[in-house]
Amino acid sequence: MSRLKEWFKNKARMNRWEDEFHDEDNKITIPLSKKLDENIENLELLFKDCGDFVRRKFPVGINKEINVFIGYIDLMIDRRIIEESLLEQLIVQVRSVPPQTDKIKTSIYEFIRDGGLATADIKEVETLDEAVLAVLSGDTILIIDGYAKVIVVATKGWPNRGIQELDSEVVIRGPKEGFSEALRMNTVLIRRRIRDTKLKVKQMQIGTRSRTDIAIMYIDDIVRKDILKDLEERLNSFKIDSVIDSSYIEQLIEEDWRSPFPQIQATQRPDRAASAILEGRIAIIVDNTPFVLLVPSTINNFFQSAEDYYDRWTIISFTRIIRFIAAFFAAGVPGFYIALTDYHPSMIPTPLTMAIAASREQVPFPTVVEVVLMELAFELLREAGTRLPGPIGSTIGIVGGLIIGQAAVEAKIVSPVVVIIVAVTAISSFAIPDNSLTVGFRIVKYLIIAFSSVLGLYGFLLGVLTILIHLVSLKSFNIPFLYPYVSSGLSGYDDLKDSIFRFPLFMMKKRPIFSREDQRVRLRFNNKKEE
Amino acid sequence: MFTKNDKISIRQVEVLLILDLYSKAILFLPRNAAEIANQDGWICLIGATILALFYGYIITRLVKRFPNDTFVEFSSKILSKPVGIFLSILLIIKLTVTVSFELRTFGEVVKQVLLPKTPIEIIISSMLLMACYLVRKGFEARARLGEILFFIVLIPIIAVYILLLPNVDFENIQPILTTPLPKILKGSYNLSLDYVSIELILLVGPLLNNHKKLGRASFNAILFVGILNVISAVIALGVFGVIGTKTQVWPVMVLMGLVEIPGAFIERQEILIMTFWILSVFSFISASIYFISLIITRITKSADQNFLVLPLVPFIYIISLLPNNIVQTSDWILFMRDYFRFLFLFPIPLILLLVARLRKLGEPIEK
Repeated sequence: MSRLKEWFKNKARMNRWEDEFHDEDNKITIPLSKKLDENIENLELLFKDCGDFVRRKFPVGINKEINVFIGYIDLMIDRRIIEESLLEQLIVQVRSVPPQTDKIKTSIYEFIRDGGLATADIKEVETLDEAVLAVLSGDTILIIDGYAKVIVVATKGWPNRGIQELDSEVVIRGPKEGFSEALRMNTVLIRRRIRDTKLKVKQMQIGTRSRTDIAIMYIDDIVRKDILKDLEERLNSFKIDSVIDSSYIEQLIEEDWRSPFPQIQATQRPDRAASAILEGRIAIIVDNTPFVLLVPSTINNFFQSAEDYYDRWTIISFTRIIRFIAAFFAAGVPGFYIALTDYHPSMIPTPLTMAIAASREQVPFPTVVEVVLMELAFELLREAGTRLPGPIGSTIGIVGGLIIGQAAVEAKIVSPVVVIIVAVTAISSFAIPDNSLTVGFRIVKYLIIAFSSVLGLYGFLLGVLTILIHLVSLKSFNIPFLYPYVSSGLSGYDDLKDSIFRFPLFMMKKRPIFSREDQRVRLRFNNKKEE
Repeated sequence: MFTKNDKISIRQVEVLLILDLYSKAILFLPRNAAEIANQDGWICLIGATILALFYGYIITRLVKRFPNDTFVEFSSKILSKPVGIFLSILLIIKLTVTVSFELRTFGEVVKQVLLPKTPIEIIISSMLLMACYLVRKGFEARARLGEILFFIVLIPIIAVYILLLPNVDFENIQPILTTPLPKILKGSYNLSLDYVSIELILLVGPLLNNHKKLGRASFNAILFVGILNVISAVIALGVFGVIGTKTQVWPVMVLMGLVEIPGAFIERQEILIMTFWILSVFSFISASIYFISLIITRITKSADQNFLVLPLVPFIYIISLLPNNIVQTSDWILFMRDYFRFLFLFPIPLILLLVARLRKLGEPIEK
């Protein structure tokens, strides 16, 4: 019994992150003191064994009467700012132009804050926690003896890879730059596209240890307040120790974790994020990752490519139809083939039946085994190909796809028709613009194969029904996932103009359902006759 | 975890109603019509549609008086609680038996056309479980699925009708109006009972977000399905002739097989059309199960509907396997039709409406 109690006690302790200096959310509880030495002592304690912490205590004033302390993390700062705007001002300039010390003695803090720092971006904090957090995020702290306040000078300047060309979501026409790992740079990329004060950037931090910066971007008078509130509630509904990538946030705030389909869209394209924000959606930008989340997302968003709006509407409408067919193929072709050949060969025209039968003549396996075997072989190739560096990856493709496929057919392990089926499925799955949606269809393909192999065409239908039922019950921030193909009455059928067909730009005068109801108009012509 | 809103729009009601009405009778209706009135069967169908519109009118008037109640509550309010609960239980039994026999017929059709070697138990139980899966997702999901199925089911079928038009020999349906009027009226009444899904409107009240247009929606849906049924009867009679239509078990299914789509890849397309029919039957079965569980929830005043769904499965499954064969099934369906279907279509709603008016219950309909 006592053991059990101990276990529970341990368990309770394990669930909490507090120690003598930190509270349950890993925030530092030590107060700031007026005495500089006490503060330094506390900081030394907190930064014990942190080799990257740079600190210096030095006196200022002609007679060196006031002690000042600065601290920062090495290489996370811009050394130039610290040296030119901070240290030079404090150490050299202040000494060379002596103010009457007795005059300013009582207001030395204000004197330094207002006159001693040659940089615009400073702020004051009053807790040690905020000060330490500022240091850890690349700012420099300045503590003056006699004051329980800390001046934080923005000196962020760590190395990053800058704005580079995209490697996924590639377009032929349109901007080529992509998001990078720095949060501020990403917000800039969006801000450059929307020069409106109503574009809000709300910042918060998630992660009790990682303290990751997260920015929510939206246009204040277009975004739907209910969705914004919902999003904020969801973001505040959990505590996690760290957020390494935006997918952490995605998985924690999505509606249905069982679903193989993504309910939140991730993009690397600033133009895409900007246009989503202009449609009333909300972008969640997470520091340290180039993937920006867009909520709410419906299946339609996953079928749109950024390029859809840059090219002519005719060709885009055509490719949209191709994409939908591709999605259906990616999920359904193997199952349909099994259902037809195993259960209803009479549905296939006779010459083709003969051809299929002839090609399967010496194959020892039933069709299901054949198809699943080839599908798994293909998944294997795909997995091997992604992990390998570029040149070897393409070799794998050739060896796997051509040589093994050819050999398997010649050795009568699989029939050539199955190779065609698997190849069509694979190519179709690559024609879906969004990778996370592709993954969904890849998974449900096996469900349909299972149903079809047991119940033929009826089973195929049941498989499709299962997926449809799942899809219709999905929601993204209370908007039906299959919108606008279902419940399109919600916004007067206007959203159908950007679904299977993309209407010419001048016809899409209204924003989609993500926007507030009184802010739907996005295009109007000055000359009424043009309409 | 997050908020859920279970209301559906009036357009979704319309779509669901069309699917449920359509699937109920489409395979047999031309044969039944021909049996009653030979080449004038399609006139009976017109009469049946008019009668169905009338039933729909009474029922929607009743539902609009009690926008936040299902049948269970407003029948209790109007005719005292014991009577209301008795009627609700009667409705449960009726719906259960109807859905069971519908399921059995469905199983037989699928077995005969698609899966001759598969035991019927597997076909029936898989369909039942699939319907339960949908029911557990809530009525809103059902409405959205209906919107998708609507296009998948009806576009191919209308296309087939258009393609069949050249085959229709209008001499087969002449001479018109040789059947005596009483026989046509009797036939209209009999056929109107196939529009039994109208009674589901009795239960749909609290699920709607706007009641004002309910009458219009049910009118549109019944008219739409009525026209489709008349067209399919005309085509069946025109293609097969009277005797041909009478001898076909499923005339519409055979019709589908006659279509020659130019350059079509797939042969025996009636199997393909069959799959579309399966989808609409699925819609009807899931609707029935949903409403059975809804009535039970309302009677017992329990908060959660989902846990009631799976216990229904064995009942429906066993009842559906009671008849020995397809002939017995259709005999029992006929028996049900003659004695039970009419009750909730017309007399009970009418009595309820009249009593409600006399007792001035519910919201009067604003002009």
